[in-house]
Amino acid sequence: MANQATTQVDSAVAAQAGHFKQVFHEIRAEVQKMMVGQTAVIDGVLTALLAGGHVLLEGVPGLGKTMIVRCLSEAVHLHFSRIQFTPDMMPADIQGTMVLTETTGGGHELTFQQGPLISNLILADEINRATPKTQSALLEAMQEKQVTVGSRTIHLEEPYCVMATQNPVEQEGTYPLPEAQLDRFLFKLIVGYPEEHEYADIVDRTTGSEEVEIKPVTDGKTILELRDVARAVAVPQNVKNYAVHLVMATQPESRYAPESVSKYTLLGSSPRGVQGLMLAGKVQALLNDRFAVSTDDVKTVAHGVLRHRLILNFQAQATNVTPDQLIDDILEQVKTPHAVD
Amino acid sequence: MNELRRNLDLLARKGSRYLRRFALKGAMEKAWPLVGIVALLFPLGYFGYRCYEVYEAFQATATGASFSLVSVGWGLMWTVLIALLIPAAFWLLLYSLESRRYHGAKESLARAWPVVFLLAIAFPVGYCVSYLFQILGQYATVSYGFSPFLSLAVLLAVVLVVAIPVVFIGLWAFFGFSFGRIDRQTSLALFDRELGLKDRLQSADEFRVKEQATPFEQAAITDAMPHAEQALQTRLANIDIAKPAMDTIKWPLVFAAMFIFVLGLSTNGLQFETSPVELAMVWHDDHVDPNESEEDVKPPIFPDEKSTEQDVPEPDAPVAEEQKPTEMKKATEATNSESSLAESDEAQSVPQQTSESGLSASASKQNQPGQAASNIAGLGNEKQKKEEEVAQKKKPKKSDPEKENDSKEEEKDDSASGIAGGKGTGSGKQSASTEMLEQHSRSREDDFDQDVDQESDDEEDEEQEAASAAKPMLNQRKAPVDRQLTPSGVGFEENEDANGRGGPGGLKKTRGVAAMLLGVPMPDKLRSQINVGRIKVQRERSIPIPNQVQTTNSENRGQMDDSVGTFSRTELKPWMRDVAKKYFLDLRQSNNSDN
Repeated sequence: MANQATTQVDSAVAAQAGHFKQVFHEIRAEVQKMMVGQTAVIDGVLTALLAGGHVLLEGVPGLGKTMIVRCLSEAVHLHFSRIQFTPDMMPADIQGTMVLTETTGGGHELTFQQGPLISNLILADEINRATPKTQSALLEAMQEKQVTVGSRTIHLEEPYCVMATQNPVEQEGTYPLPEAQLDRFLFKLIVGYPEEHEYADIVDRTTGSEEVEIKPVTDGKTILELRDVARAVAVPQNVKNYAVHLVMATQPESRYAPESVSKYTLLGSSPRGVQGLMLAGKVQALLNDRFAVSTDDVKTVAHGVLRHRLILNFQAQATNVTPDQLIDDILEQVKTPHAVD
Repeated sequence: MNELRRNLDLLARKGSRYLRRFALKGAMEKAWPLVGIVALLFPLGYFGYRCYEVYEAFQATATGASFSLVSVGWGLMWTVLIALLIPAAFWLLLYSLESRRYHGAKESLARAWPVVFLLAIAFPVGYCVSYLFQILGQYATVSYGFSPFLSLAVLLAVVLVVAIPVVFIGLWAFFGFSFGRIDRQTSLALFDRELGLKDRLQSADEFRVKEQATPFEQAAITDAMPHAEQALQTRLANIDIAKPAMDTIKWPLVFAAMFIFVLGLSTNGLQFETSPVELAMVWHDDHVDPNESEEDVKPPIFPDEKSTEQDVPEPDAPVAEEQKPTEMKKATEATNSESSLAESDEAQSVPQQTSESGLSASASKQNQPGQAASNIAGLGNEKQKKEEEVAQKKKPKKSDPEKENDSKEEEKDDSASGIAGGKGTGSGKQSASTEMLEQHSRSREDDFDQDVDQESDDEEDEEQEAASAAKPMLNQRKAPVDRQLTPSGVGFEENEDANGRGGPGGLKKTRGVAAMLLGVPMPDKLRSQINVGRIKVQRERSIPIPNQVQTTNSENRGQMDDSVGTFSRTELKPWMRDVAKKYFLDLRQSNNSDN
């Protein structure tokens, strides 16, 4: 009897995991109808969506950062809003404000006009062009999933995901994101140039007469169910310890920090880094047909989770040391628990 | 579930047994630094001993004992072989035996190639070093042989380099194998890693003991079952469990030991090159005739001695006496050719005074030229030198044509009487070495710049005048050299050096206050600064300074009225940010422009 019950539980869990993987691949297939290549970026965006996090996409212009998010919004069938951040934008422009409207009786009244921040999928395009004041308007929405305007607090509808883009090249007239906001992003994904063989597909899909139609393959409810499935994935103690060691290794002068981190890092990751490693690792475990997170899953997502949480000092910038180099060093120095070598 | 537990237990025991085998490997890794340190200590101690031995041997030469350079070389070579090869071969043997278990013989040898390379080059290097010392020994007509220290060296090497690490490794391996505890998770991690199971076995073993396993944990356990059965069929002998013990940190020890040996070799080589007195002593010990009385011993004439034996030739001197200088003398002449040639001119024109040079007599009898011997002889010739200097000062100053004529005449006289008299041959014939000296001296004179000669002559004159304290006649004083192109002063002798450059020669002299003054007045175009100049800004990273506070229970802790600590991290000021920003923008712009 016990074995039969166990088998039923296992089959139910296996069905959930299979469904998770199926939806993931369906969404990716829809996005890839339009996007050529950038598989790692697409997987990272989907991982963040299914793990309940936010994504910061960084890349030079023309690589499809905005296109990825737009295609994803069409494939998921969620309420989507795009905010083009500009230097003169104010917090009220994205949160909403009270406006004077005319009533049917000819009178006037103050009503709350929602801003574009109140949606499911937010594309914060070129987020670093807004002033820190406007950028700070995202903090509450990203962490608390609510917006407070005056005395009004609006709880944002789940799933809620902010996908921001920024251009690392054009620094004139931009405002670097504060550490508090960077820490709220689950992933920072670097969008690179396509491969040589991908250029032909890009030309065909973007300059041909045939229009690409992206169909919604899932909805918000399914996304929330999949998030629950992801959070249910088991985490062994050695994996927790390894994730903690990795995050502590990003903190200068900690016992796990390599020499390079102590030398080039001003600030390390916060505990949000461990949360991000665990959530993203759970999604990776499900995608790899496993029911428990492994240390390899944590290693896989370490770069995306930790690279924007490492604040480098002036010496690192002067010597062109990148966070990815430091993370590589961390992954090499921090041994997995129970490692025999 | 029970089947999984049984399988995991079997895997844990299997992994534990396998890992305990690596106690020997761990002991080797732990002992490798010890081997390196011991291998470093032994040559250090032996090197110090050899230095002391060389010093004592050198001291003993004063009492007539012989000094063998080759024994030093042989001793060092044997030390290389003992102190480096024995531990290297020892380590290679153990490593090959151990690593073959999980790497295979081919790969273990491939990974051990540095040791093999060391073994391969050690013998040729040792042979070359010994051969070098053999050549040197033959050249110096000394016998070579094994160092008496060899037997002690072998004993110390065996005890220190081999026995101590062996005992260490044996004890470590015994205790590690007998009392070592291999963690269960570590044993299972061995199979996870070998089979690429992504921690499935470790996770299942952890979730299995939970009372309330979640559905995903239960699914993870079920998922691990087939993998556990598969792991039981796996041979762990093929597991690449660890890297070889060839840690790069330990290699500098070997190179440091080799460097010390090279240092020791070079030290002995320097002794040979710069201490010809030792060679003279060796030659003296080998060739001295005990029946020969001190009166029969005739002092040799060194080129730096101010003697003119050519004025008093000795026709009765045997021809063999002329050819007595050995090969060692030639070698020493070659090494000291520069100093001898430089002083040969003076030796030719100096009158013979050898009665006071008692110390030089015994050394020069052996016809052993050299700086040290000449210094000894020079002690007795100081008085003679002073007299010569006074005599030179009393000579009236001649013009250049006269000087040239005189110098030519002197050269002729020297060639006729034989400069070899200054070399100690005592015959009127001109020996081959004397011809070489003269040719070399002439060619060198031709090569030298004329201005340098004049300057050196002036300096010699000045030194002679200063030594004699004789005041020159007023009308013989040269006019002071100034920057004018015409001689200054009235009543002074015309100064041919007054060429406006502060002295003779085409180059402008840089000595004296006159050289520091501009010849042509120039307006000062250096703009002054209104402040103290550039300000150097240096940023230093500061460490937070914690406050020492006493620990109290939270319920007993009242309202905190003290600061919890200061965090002295310096925030970048706006202008500093701008500087950094501008730097990177410029850097990026320059990179873009380069691309």
